[in-house]
Amino acid sequence: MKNFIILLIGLAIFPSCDDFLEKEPTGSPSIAKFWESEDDVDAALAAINNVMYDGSLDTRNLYYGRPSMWPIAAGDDMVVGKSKSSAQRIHNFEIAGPEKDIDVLWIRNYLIIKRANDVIINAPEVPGLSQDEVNAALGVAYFYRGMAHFNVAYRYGNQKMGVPIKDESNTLDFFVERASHVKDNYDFIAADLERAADLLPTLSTAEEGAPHRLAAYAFLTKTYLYWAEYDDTKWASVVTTANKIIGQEGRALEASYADVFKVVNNYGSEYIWSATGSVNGSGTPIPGQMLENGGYQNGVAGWGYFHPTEELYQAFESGDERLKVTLQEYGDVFTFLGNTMTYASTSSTTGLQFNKYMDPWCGYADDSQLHPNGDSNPSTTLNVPIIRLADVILMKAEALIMQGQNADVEINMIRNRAGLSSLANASLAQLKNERRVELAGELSDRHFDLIRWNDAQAVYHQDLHGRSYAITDPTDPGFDRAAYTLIVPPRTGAARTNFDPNIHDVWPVPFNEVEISNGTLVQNEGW
Amino acid sequence: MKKCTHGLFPKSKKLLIVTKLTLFLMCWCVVQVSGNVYSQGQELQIHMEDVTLEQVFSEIRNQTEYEFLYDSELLVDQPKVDAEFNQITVGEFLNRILPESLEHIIVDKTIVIKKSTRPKFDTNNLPEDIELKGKITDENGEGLPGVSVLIKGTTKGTVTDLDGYYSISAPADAVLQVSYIGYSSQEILVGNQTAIDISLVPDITQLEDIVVVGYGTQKRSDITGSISTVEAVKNITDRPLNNAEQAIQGSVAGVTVVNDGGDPTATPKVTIRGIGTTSNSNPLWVIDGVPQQDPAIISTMNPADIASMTVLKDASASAIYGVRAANGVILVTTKRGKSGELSVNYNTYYGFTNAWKKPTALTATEYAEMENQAQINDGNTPLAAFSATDNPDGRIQRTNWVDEIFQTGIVQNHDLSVRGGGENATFATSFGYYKRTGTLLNTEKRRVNFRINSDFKLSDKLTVGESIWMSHTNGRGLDPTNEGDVYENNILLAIYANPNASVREADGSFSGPAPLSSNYASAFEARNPVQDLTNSDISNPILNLTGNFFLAYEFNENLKFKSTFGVNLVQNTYKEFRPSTPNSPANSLFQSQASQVDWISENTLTFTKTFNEDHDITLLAGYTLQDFSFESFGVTGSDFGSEDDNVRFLGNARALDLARSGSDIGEKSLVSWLGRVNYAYKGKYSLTASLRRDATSRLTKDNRVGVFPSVGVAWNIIEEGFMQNVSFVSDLRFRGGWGEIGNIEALSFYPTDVPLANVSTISFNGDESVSAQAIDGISNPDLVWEKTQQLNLGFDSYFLDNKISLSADYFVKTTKDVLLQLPLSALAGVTEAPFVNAGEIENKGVELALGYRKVEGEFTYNINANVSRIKNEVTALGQGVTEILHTGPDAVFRNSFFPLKSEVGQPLYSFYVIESDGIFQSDDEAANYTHADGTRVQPNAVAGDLKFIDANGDGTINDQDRVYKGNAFPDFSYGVNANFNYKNFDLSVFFQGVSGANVYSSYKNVSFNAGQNLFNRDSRILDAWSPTNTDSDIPRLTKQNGSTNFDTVSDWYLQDASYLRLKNITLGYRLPAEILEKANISNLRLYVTGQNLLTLTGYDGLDPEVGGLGVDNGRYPASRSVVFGLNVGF
Repeated sequence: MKNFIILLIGLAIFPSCDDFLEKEPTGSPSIAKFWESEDDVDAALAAINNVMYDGSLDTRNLYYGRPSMWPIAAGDDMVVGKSKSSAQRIHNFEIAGPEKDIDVLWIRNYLIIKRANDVIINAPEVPGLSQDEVNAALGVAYFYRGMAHFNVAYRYGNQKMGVPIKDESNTLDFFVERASHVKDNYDFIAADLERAADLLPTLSTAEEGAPHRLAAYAFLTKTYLYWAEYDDTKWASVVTTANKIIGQEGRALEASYADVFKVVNNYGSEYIWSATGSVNGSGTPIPGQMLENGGYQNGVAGWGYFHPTEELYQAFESGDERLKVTLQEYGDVFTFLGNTMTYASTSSTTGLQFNKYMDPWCGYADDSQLHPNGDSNPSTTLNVPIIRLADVILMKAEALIMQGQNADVEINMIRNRAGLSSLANASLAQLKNERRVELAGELSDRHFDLIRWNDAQAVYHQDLHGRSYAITDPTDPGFDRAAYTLIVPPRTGAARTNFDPNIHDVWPVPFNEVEISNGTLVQNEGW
Repeated sequence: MKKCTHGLFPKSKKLLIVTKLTLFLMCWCVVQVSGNVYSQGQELQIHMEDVTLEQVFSEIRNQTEYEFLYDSELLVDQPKVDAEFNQITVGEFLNRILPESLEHIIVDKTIVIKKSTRPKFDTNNLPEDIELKGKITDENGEGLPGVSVLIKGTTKGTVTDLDGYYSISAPADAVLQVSYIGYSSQEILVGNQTAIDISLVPDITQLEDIVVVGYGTQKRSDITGSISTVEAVKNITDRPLNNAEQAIQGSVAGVTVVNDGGDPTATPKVTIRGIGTTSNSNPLWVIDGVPQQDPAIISTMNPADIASMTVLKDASASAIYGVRAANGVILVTTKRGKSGELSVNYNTYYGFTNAWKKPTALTATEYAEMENQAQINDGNTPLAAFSATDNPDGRIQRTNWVDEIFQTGIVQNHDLSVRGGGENATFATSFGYYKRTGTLLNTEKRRVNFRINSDFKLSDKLTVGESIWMSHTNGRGLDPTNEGDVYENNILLAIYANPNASVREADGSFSGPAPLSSNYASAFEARNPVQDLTNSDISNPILNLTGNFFLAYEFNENLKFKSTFGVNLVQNTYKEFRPSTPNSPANSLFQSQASQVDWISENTLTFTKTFNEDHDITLLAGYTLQDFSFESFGVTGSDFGSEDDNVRFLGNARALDLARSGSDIGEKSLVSWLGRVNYAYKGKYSLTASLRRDATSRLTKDNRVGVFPSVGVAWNIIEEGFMQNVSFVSDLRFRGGWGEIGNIEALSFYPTDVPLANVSTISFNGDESVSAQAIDGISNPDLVWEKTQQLNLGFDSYFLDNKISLSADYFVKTTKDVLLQLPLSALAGVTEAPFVNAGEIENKGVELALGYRKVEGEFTYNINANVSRIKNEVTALGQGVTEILHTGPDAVFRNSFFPLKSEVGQPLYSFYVIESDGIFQSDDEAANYTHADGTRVQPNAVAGDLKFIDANGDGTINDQDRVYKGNAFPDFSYGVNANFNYKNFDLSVFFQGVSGANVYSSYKNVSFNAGQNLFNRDSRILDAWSPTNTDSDIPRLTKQNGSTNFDTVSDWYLQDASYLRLKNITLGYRLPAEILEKANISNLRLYVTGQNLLTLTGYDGLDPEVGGLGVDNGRYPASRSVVFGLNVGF
């Protein structure tokens, strides 16, 4: 019995040692054991892409979905088609506090910058990597850092204040003051993109959809374009950089405007850089978010957020082939997943719909191009252009005109493809309208064009309009597609007389970020 | 009455009595009572002269296995005796040897010596009157042996047998006096009855003599901390309880239990003395010595197994548990077997539940009129779809969606237990089955429990035993994270859904969005809630196995060793099949598997000794090791060819979804040393001091050790001479204590070395899903323990022969170095904020408990009330931060409403909103609301819009105008519990309530807002402001929402959620013993219970018990139930 007791007591008291309290982080690599192989670098690079296409976090607020589109929708091309109050506040410049729907842009861009910095800092130290492999990784990292920095700089920075610059030197700092002028940001961005262009592969040698030299030049062109607002010398840089793209590596306009927005041409001759569509993960949901709310029939999810305005419709000259490609109006006949339909809407507040991104539904008789989980993730196989060749051509044209030079060659390339006649000595006003109709509903950012052209106040102080039909059923014998009255769509159609270009040329830094910054982040004046 | 002080015999022997009093069994002193009750006929040989009674008793102990229990003061002036006997039975011997002033009772092997309450009587000379029979039972209906039954005013009497039966002859006018130690005496008139069953009521001050405390037990009179035993547990099977937490609700001052709505799978939230931390504020449960802090596991316990629950509220009581005890400790002891008594109990109940309150939506016609009116108010043409002439069909009411999603729920429970044992082994085993269907379609919970508790006495010194508990639960509730989502909250969906639509199409399939070009006004996004609920195919079985093996070794009567090894194994499988729906054609199956192994080894040495009769000392030393490991993975499969039930398994998926798959792993461990001194002097003064040293794996080597002291004192003023003449005071004692406890439960597994995050994305061309790894956290190697200090002052008192009881406590609880994830600057570029030690939170409170009991006569009752007030304040936040806007899932609605903030000087989780001041009654009034410079404060406002206060006076309404307006935590919480017994009937009533709690009814944001799409609305919108309905507090109908009535985070949403609720009313009837005797049944009780039958509240949401942080997004409403139950004992 005694032995038994001793045994039990002995079993009961485990020998103690410090080992018992040393628990090594388990489950995924610890930071100390990362950056040891090419695979680690690849995983870290993919983590940058993850910020833009994060399927597990929040498909509703995917970077290249609504958050990128809300500020663009503040322009005059579209209204917020649903009564989503936060989106309405953004459209109406009424943001007065934390607004997650737009705040994510600031937050995610700095997330991209941090992850890019992690690669820039660590990739050169990874043992066993050749210089080429290091350079390839750095090229991608500089490209994304420049791109994210650009996206945050122009939206929040101006001559009064730039945005915080986060690089290798301060990547771990929580509190970084804003640059004194957005030019400082553009300067930094241009350097990153130049470096990226040096390091990145050409378009033809890059993996499909991966960063490549021309994409870096395209962002560089756009950076100079926006920079020129503050520095006239940059107009020349726009032209120089655009010339590194136009005609290079097989870049040419698609034969017809409609072809640009076909799934098969995702990586066609006009492609430079796009938001990637995907049905195997979370690609850009913009096509689904623009589609009629409910999507016409069971099994198709459309979110119906962005309704084009009558003003956009009227911006198209007669005979412009782009009108029908860009917009649908009541009575338009189209094929939808193999069924012939006539457009009418139970939910559009303008009586119009963007047609640009409907190829995944209209070009196919089945749902093969749609994400199987469409209701929560309305992504398709279609890419949505961020910068395509036509945009670069128009940037160059604008730069030429701004330098007092002739841009007819560039503008007419665009017009002629659309079935329009050539212009002679095209004016800045003509350039502006060309840019509007060519790029309507794309990620190019019509709102910021109006801001930098100083046209925003005049435009935003006017009502936006939509169409209202008495007889809404196109199959009704009394239906007449011309028999509509103009209405001001609720909430986001009315003139935004509160718009003040001295305040609303930039978006408010997320209120929370200002509040928690210990005074290092200063809110944009007036917000 | 005075407390027993120590006699000759070690404490553990005395505890045997407590065991017999069915209170509980101390873990280490499982020195079991032998199986055979010794006959009082066991014979003695005694030859002693001029000896004290103590010496005599000592001799009896030597010769027999009897032990004695008595108040040593009883023997103080007793004369010495001569004892010369041969072959005399113990009983006879004691009858002869004891002076008139003393008497004895023999219970099993224990002889209780007490003051004579009766003249000596002679059982052989009873007059032949009425032959009276009956059974005397304890409060649980179990027979009590050895109860004295005396005819008042005579010497005639008897004692009950082993099963509690007695028989006596008595005249009809006789009054029976029934008395038993630990129970209140009763007097009953015989009348013409021939059978009288008597249920004895425990005498509270006697029964609670011994209280379970951390790592042991203590005499109540020596306790220095704030410790409450949960009274409701004594009769735990007398009313239907869904889980153990419900037994505490409203019955202990300072403890709040909030039922998380009516979701059958939800677990109640228990908070002891306020929230001291923003992360894990759950108390620690110690179940048969094994710590458990996971509410999901605690709620799988079968409440019927519980023998006692003790709540350690203040730090001086709970500090012995050190880490994990900062939020208070709840000690649970489960029922164990007793020697010689085989008891079989079966408890069951069955009942019906329905929603306490349901929202109502507009009818089809009202809906159409509301939409039209909103358009007209905006100066627009109404939509044809809502026109009575263009679309008359639209006004046909086809579905009341709210009624469609609710159902009558059924709750049923079966609990079978067998307890008993022999001389050296006892056991208790039980089986429980519980099933409850919710009041929302297709929601339910099932639970199966098994338990075995057994004890083996291997020798006089060594006892081993174990408690093994297995539970298997499965359920399907609503996903609470979807509450704030207007597309997935089923209750909101039932409001939105078009009343003109049908639930199903003619072919039986669920109806979906309307077809193209129809005039049908379809709110496309309003998914079919019946379809959503019906299709929900979630299986979430949790298998829990908790085992605890112990050995107790008694070196001698002073020194004992106990070692416990406990394991908690949890297997949690989650399967959710999402069938294809019109909105989401892809089907998918998410399946995850989590397993955790949590083991603990605890070893304690206890030394107990009384020096010079006046100095009682107990020393405790212990060493414990704990280890926890966890692993889970989840996989999503999609593209199932068939959706038949029998192929909803991963193998049939034709694709795997990497983005929705992953794994999670973690380990943690803890090494602790603990020590405690209890010292009591003459039963008057007591002192408790403890020290615990914890070392954790979750902090770095330099910071991992925390040392947590506590000290408490108590003064039994009633024992002082000067109190002897204050006869109305039966008992009075003062307590005071202070202690410090650590807490790191907030922390993730590796906060000082954060692993990379596994994330997923798409390949560059979008053709496939790829995984990636990101540095997404920031390690903080400087983390130290969060510390909670608590000061407690209190007193316990009893008056008028213990009829009235009053206890009060005042406490100040300060949490320092609070572990927080401070708001993270986006510039840090990570999504997970690092933990830091920041801030200080203070909770101050007062708790009062008042009771009255009447224990004599046929009609007995007791009423207990408690009330507590807790004041919470954030006294500091570190690192330059002074405020935190809460953005967690509990604190947000639709991603844009963040009404909760914590700021220094304010309570945690305060509502931070823009104040409103009614509704503008005219356009002029709105236009005249101007800033000093003449500009309009609300430029777009018109008559019928809310007027908002420009708090900062800058002329505009924006975020800077927010002010603090209370929080969701009540100013006062109270409970009233009353039990009445009359003959065989018992009635218990339990009210519980809170006052001064605010709730943010974000439910109204969409359900009252005509501007939200084409959704249908809550019917209360009919009362919206209009020029002819000007006294409404609901803003006008508008599609424009120009004045942002609903978009403003304003106090318009805030409501007082005070309530008083009749939580439980139970009427029971115990069948008379003479009927049961024939059927060999010892106890049979029938009862009916009503739960939540009555609620008084001014809150107009679905349920004032909102829970969480007080943001009511339209939660699963509490249910009201009527339950019928049966308790049988054999």
